[in-house]
Amino acid sequence: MTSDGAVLSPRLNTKLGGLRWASTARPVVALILFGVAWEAGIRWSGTTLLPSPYAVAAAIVELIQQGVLAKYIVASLFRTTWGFGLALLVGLPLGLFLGWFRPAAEALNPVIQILRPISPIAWIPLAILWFGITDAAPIFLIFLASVFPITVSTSAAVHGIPRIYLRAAQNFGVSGWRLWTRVIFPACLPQIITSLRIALGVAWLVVVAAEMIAVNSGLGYLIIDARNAGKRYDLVVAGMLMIGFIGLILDTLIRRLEHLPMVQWGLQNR
Amino acid sequence: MKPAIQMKEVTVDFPGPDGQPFRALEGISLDVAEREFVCLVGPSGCGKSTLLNVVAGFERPTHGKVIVEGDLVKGPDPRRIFVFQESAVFPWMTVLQNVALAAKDPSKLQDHISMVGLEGFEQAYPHQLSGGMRQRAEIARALAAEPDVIYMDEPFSALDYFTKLRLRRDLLRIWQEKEMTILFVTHDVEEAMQLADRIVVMGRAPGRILEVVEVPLERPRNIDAPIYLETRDHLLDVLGLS
Amino acid sequence: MTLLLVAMTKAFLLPVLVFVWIATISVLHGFMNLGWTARGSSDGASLVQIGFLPVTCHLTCPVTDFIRRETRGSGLFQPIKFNSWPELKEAFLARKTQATFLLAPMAIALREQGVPIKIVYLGHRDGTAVVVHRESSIRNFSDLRGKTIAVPNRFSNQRLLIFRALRDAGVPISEVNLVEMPPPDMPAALSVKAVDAICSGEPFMGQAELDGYGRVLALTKDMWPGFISCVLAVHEDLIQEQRPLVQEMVDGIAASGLWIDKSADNREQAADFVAKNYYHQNPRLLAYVLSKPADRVTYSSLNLVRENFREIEELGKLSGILSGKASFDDYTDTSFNPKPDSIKAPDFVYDK
Repeated sequence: MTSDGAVLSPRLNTKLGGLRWASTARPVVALILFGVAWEAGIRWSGTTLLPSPYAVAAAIVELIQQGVLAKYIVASLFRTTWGFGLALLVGLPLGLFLGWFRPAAEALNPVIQILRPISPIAWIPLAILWFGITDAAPIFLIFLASVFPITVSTSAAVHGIPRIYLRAAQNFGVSGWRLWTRVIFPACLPQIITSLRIALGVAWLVVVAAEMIAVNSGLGYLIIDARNAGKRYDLVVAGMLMIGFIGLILDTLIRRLEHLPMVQWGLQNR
Repeated sequence: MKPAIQMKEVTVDFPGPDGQPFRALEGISLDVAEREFVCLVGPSGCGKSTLLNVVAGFERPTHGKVIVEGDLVKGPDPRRIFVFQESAVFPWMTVLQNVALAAKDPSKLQDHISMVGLEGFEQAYPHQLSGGMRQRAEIARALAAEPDVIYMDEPFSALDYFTKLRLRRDLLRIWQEKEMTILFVTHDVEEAMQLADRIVVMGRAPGRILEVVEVPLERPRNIDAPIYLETRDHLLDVLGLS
Repeated sequence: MTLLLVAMTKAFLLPVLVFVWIATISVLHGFMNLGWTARGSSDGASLVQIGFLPVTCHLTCPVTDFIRRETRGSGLFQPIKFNSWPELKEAFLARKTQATFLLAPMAIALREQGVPIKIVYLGHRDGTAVVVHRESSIRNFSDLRGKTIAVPNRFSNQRLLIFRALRDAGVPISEVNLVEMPPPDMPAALSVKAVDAICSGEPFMGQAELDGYGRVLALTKDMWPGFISCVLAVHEDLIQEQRPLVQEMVDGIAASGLWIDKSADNREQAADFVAKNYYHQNPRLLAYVLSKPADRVTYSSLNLVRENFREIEELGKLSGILSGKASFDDYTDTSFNPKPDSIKAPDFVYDK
């Protein structure tokens, strides 16, 4: 048995309970150390503005007591779900289409590359114009943030399918719809899943900016509102921490997709 | 008997680095009979893989044409399956799913898998198999399409010696059982000697047929027989001159 | 057979999970945040929407709304809280809000750009301060020579205020460094001495004082008597289509203004219910800026007066934000000014 179990196969790792425990303990210890360093920093600098870990925890409790914590989390998750979901619905087919049909790619690529670097915050005025001050506006901004990485990655994945797979498919008479569902799409899936991870991260990151538009709920709104409330840095940091923590959960969940057997071929380290 | 494959003056030009067309194949004319096992042998760069791709319909010749079983070749066809050098089994499907995708008769899947000796690995994914087993899976898939002709492009060259021997033996068994026509490309003279009815020796710059050598010996080939050694030496001779 | 079932379940598992998640989160959101119950949804749909920011300048908006809902059971309009000026303004431009509290110079500038906006009433008088660091040596406006002053939006009256004060003190604008900063960030910037002076609406000035590091250099009521900053503005269409409603809104705001100014006790009550229900600020902070001193900000005599705006136009042109294309009669509609003595403060006591 090696000292950190790295050489063992994944199947063995789950059976040896002890090793698994160690790899969960490490990040926990790191987080605790970080918390201690934070508290020490606050005390040593004597700041009256920056909150200590205790103050942030108290702020979270306050939010729970007011009954808004669950509401805000649900609101942000709702907008991210729909924004990201729509980005998938639009970005995947568009990416597949652009990757496969060269003339379409040549026509649309400049447009996509021009729109891509525009920060969602810059879209806020247009979002208000088109979608008003309802949930549709933040959903639109989140959609914008995620649709470009998905489209570009998917189209690159299609472009990069090894020629022999396409030739083999052609040889066996696989064509039309079957070609897309049995060959092209699965061949791109590992790369698509990697891009989904990134796109979801971007979508969740944009939540704060997206919730600048007159919504009255959400974790991003919490932070913006806390700024307007005066000296509520504890709420600001509490909001930041919760966003970070939920972001971690989202990332962990989407990484489970990497365990699907039909994509492991592209995502495993050899 | 009508030949299965007829190549008529096949010529292939590629755009060269300096703008001048580069002639990969020059005037290839060759007939392959039904149920024949023909090997294309030559040094790298002689165009043997290019020729195979043209015959299979993946590439168009600049001049000339190929007729397979009476049809002019315009593109790939499920009746003539290509087996690639690097395994082309789809890694996102299990062995069984790969075979099922190609299968003409869904009830015979297990037969094809058994024929290549992969029983027990139906649910395995290609990345879980060794190189040799992957090639077996590819052959099983090719067989499942029940083709009349199989094209093989150096299918065993990436495998170790022992696996090569095993697979050659199994391939011959399958060929004899199924009565297919096989056009097999290799750079390994020994391999060609073990497998082929006829060996087409190709030379390069430009790619052309140097000589067609008959190997009318019984299989499995006795590597000590004088005729075997003579033929082999003759092959090496022809190749040495190219 | 079981293998087939297992395989089928596995294949459909992912799409089913996704569908369940989308449905769950949407329903949860609907009930928790969008008020998907019989009472909540019908209320907001038909009312005129008014935009406001959580600043003392816009106090009459939540006060009118709260008193109205408490005494009559339903609101006169639907207040929509924004978090910063750009979104507030853009929502109004896009007709998502039909009326809004707005900075007076911004309203005038919009009119100059052809937006059919009409100022119908004032939001407040005074209610701004210039604050410096307690330890600084700045005692009057001429001491600001060579210093950095933070102001909000360039269309704010606070910026015009600084222009006016410096002009009166004989300090050329070029010898002062004006920076634009969001008001919530100003107290912190002052506390670390990143800027030398800050000027914005309340309660941010009061916060710097309450936290101990800020010292008031001047209150607007002393610098520019009758100072106006925020106004109530509506779309021209609203005037044409719902004139009685606009009048009701103005009357309501006038009445709440009188109520707020009636007594210190009322002010404390207002600080409490506004801070808790609308602004999400500390009630103590809001109470402080409404009472120390008692006339730091006033909400009476909010009728539109031509003279007030003349000075704004002048300073606006001087500081480069107005071109002078729009005149008082273009950008205001004084027909809603209530007759003196026709408005009474409502009889309302807040039960904490």
